[in-house]
Amino acid sequence: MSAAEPALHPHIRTLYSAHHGWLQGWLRKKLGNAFDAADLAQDTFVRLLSAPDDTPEKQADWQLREPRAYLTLIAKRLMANLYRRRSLEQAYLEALGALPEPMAPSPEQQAIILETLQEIDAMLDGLAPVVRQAFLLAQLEGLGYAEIAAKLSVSERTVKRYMAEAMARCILLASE
Amino acid sequence: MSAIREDVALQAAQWFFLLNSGEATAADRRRWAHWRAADPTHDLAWQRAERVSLKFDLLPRTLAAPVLGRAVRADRRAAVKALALLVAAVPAGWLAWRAVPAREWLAAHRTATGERRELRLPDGTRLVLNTATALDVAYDEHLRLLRLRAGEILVETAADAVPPDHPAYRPLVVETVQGRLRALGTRFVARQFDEGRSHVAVLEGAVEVRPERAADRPVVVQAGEQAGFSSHAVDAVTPAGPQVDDWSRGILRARDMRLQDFVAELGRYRPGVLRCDPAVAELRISGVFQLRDTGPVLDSLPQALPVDVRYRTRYWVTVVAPGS
Repeated sequence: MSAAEPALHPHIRTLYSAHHGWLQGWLRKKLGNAFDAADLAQDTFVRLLSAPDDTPEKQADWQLREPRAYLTLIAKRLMANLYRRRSLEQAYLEALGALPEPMAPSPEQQAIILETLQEIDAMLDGLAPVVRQAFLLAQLEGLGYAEIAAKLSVSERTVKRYMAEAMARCILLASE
Repeated sequence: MSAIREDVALQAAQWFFLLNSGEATAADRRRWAHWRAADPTHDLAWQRAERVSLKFDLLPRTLAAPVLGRAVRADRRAAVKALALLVAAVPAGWLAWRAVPAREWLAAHRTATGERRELRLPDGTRLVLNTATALDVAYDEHLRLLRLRAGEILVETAADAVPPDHPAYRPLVVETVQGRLRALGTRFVARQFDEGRSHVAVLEGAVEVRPERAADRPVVVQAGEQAGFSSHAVDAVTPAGPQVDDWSRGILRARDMRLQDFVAELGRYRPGVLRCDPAVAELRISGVFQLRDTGPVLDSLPQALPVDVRYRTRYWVTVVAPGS
């Protein structure tokens, strides 16, 4: 380690050596799978390291108080993300299997489609189900506001609000 | 880059739907143009809205609707339970459409490019399969045979195995196209190269190497050593650092590594073509890199070295000199 590294990193290093093994064991119990557990434990610390220096987890004192509670908080978030990605892959494979053969995209196209789906899915994560549904009906099915309003039993005005809310979220989360 | 505020994102979204509704008046358009020019983040937010919309347009409806509309468990506890069930199910189906050479289909265990998998064999031996690996496990009453057809494996024999001097002892042998590796200890990495060569690196214990056509002249490689071999001979034994099984933990450690070698190594974990321009091949790189997603690693190269990363497509990437 060079002296030029930020002064707070030693705290995370201590944290790593004191709790990494424990976290991995905890994840393995939750996931029933050593491999995912190892990956997620690693990701949890990567998350800590890559966070800006002024975030609470990089401050000196929090980890002395509740380090494991904090690590599991991050790990739970990562597990939820992993679940979202895996359930998407599963749904994708089912949808793909249901396509008539000539319509199946090439492997290269599939990789791009899947990646785009993951990206959109991550952006929409956390929206209320009804907002998500309204947005998808418009973007994917091409339905107009009146049709969506009738389908969801809400006013057109509400549909309009849902659209803006969902798109604003995508704008905030879209990568460059 | 300036961050987009939430209210700006909402305004951009509202403008986007108004302008795409077909109901926008000339006055609306003037106000919109004015809003867009008022602040760089306004324009940025607008561009993102267009890009998001474009992404949707590019998706085939028949696939996207059921996938994005699937039922997702909102509560985290239920999600984690469901996750444990999904773990095993995905990779098998996932592989079904991957194009792979026929030779690898025959293997009992295989991984796709970029995939890593851990196996526990009946005798307690632990295996980790690296990217693009094909392996047959053939255990019988005399021999524990692992046939490595392509790729790379880490082998850790079980601690409670029957001792070698016991009648019930079955040797553990890794067979590559070029020869056989007999485990005399506990932990080693074996690799089958495409170009008719194999390689072994020993972390603990020792491994006896018998090239197929020189089986009477075995060479013993000890812990901390490595050697390549062909069907005819074993190369000179050289020291092996502890980093030889880094990949089994999902990382790549480089110390003063030639950029060309680094790019070649990274390319093992990426589908498609990844190349290094000879003009920058001799640059040196050091650091610890995550292998599970090579995209960010590539993207970070221009910050570490005087290079550009050029994408012809997502599957055709070249590391070049800046401005070339």
